[in-house]
Amino acid sequence: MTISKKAQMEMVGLVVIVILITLGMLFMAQFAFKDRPEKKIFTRKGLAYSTVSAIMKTTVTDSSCVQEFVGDTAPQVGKDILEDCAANKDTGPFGYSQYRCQGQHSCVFVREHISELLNSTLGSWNKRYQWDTHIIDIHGVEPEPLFEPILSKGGCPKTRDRDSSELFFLQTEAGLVQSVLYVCD
Amino acid sequence: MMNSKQGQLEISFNWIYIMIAGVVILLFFTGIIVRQKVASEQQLSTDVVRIMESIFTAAGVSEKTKNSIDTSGITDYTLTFTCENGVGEYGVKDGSRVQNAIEPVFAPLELQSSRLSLWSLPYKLPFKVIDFLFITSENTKYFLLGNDQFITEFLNETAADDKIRFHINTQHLSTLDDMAVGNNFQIRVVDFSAAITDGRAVPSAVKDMDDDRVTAVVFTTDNVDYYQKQGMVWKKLNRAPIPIISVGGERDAAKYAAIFAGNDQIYQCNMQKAFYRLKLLNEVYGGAAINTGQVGGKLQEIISYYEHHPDIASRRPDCLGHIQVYPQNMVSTLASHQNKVAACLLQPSFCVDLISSAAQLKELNENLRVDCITLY
Amino acid sequence: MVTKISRKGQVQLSETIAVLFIFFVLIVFGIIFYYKYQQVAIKQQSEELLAARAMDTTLRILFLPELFCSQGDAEPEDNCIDVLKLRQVNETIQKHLEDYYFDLFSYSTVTVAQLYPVPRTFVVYDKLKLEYTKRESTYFVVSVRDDTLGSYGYGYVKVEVYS
Repeated sequence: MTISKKAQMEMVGLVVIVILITLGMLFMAQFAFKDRPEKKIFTRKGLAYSTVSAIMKTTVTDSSCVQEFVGDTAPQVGKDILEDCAANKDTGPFGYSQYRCQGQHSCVFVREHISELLNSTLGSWNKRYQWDTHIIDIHGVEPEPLFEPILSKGGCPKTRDRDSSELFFLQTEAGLVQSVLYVCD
Repeated sequence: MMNSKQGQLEISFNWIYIMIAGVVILLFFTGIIVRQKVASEQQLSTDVVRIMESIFTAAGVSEKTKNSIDTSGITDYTLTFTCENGVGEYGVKDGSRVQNAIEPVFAPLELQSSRLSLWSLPYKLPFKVIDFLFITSENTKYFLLGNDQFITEFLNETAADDKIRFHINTQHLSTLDDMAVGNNFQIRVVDFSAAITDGRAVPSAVKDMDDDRVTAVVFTTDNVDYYQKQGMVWKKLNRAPIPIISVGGERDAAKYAAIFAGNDQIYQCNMQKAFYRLKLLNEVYGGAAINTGQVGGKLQEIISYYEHHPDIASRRPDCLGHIQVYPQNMVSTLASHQNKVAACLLQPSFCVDLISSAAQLKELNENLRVDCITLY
Repeated sequence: MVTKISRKGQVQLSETIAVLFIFFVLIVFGIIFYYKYQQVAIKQQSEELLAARAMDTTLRILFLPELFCSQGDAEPEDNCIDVLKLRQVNETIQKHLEDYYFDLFSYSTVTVAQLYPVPRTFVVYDKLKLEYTKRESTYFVVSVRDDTLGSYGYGYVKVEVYS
């Protein structure tokens, strides 16, 4: 007498299908239950733009910022100190500059000042950023850095996903100064 | 030998069982699908209104912005815009609606289109009070009648911007008889030549259109009247002429608002929102008690500065002069402005008085601009 | 003669019942899965709405006529706050919070912090939601203009929204 094992085979088949479907559902479920990381809630581009704009307009009220031969003035970072840095870039960091804020050359001071302002805002919000200022001198050569870039957490190289403030231009007698802030966290 | 019919019965029973189970399962899933469809449509209209709200906020806060929204997903739905007792309401007809008591939105009563055009302009009286948001669609046509220079400005300002697909459908007419309606959802005649009057016949081109799809605004000097087609004639909607409360100049937001507003009620209701905001701004500029002549706010800050810096005040005597000393000064003018706003909010017919105080404030501010701290 | 009773029918019936049982178990799994998924989706949507509200509130603040730096009839300055107005605005906003400004800013706290030259903080709007479940903060850098000094300071706007 031959005992048919067809029913057993069918049962095993059913069990296999159920196991496969259950595994499939569990696999899909993990994506549904996973918490997505919280989105940053304002555009980095807008933030970068407003930061550069605010920094450029900031008036340096330090009493030590005396413009030689002219008297007490309250210079702006973008219009006055950066322009002075461009005009006297070759005499830095210990040489002559028209503005001597905190006794420092304007290029040294402006870099330090911008760094402090960025650190007190973007830095304290754990943002990763990079500030670059270049000058294209009157001979029209490649842009060269006016001072060392200001980096936070390694800065924002081109390979990273980054947003820029777009270039802020300043026409000076020494050439065209362009500044840009990248935010990339 | 008797053949058992057990197998035949079993098979039949199986089929009956399958049919019943199948129908139950199908009904179950069909029920879910239908409910999901209804929920999905509700979700769509809620999403549309939410997105509109967000876009209206963005367009409304930033002045002179032009935008367009793609509403092709809800072309079959009608969007409605109303305003009553200072509270505006917009949304999908018979669907989700949003109330807004803050931002003035000037739009036709109904819109049904695959794309909406949005435009915001700042309303100044004389300082910026709020942004007006104008909403229209490609299938709402504006016919401009007359030779006023505002028509040229309107046509230039509403020129299409293909980059953002902003398009306001306009046409300048010499006479109403030149009108060609085409396939538009509704038309609005903007009349600067007083061609439209109460009881006058409507152009033959619009005779077959529904009454509520044919409207007109007639500008006369500094007033505006609203008309709607009623059968074969024009019917005036407002009882008294509605004054345009503004300081004039280019891109007069109050004038543009009159063109885009669905009717006189929408216009006046939204203008009331602006006047209420003006009342609050006057408090920021002049203090909470400026209406009694007691100075506070930014004006007090400026006065304190000059009082604490007598050397500067003596070098520029006109500064305090224009602010509080001279017969026509900022403090008294701002106080008057605030009192007129209060009267305007109680009775709209008093709003026209705001124009003179706004003009005075503007002049005083310009005087201060020379060498002093300005109010705005 | 012994009649052999076939149990084939019984086996098949048991098989059918087992299959149907498994089928309904799978449907129940599906429903539970869908319910859990909807829960997570709703939670995510609520987070997105909160983030959108934070953005809307920040936009409103940056363009608020009660705060921005005006330039006469010209367009106001971008990303700039007038400190002379800033010192006074809280009084107006608090006075009209329930009847007006709540519709603009809902449950949120808006502060303007000047970092340079003189660090100071101004609370522009404050309506805390008691027993809030979620809080989202946005920061935006702004200039702070002081017409009495003729200078621009550096600061930021902080917007915290609650849900």
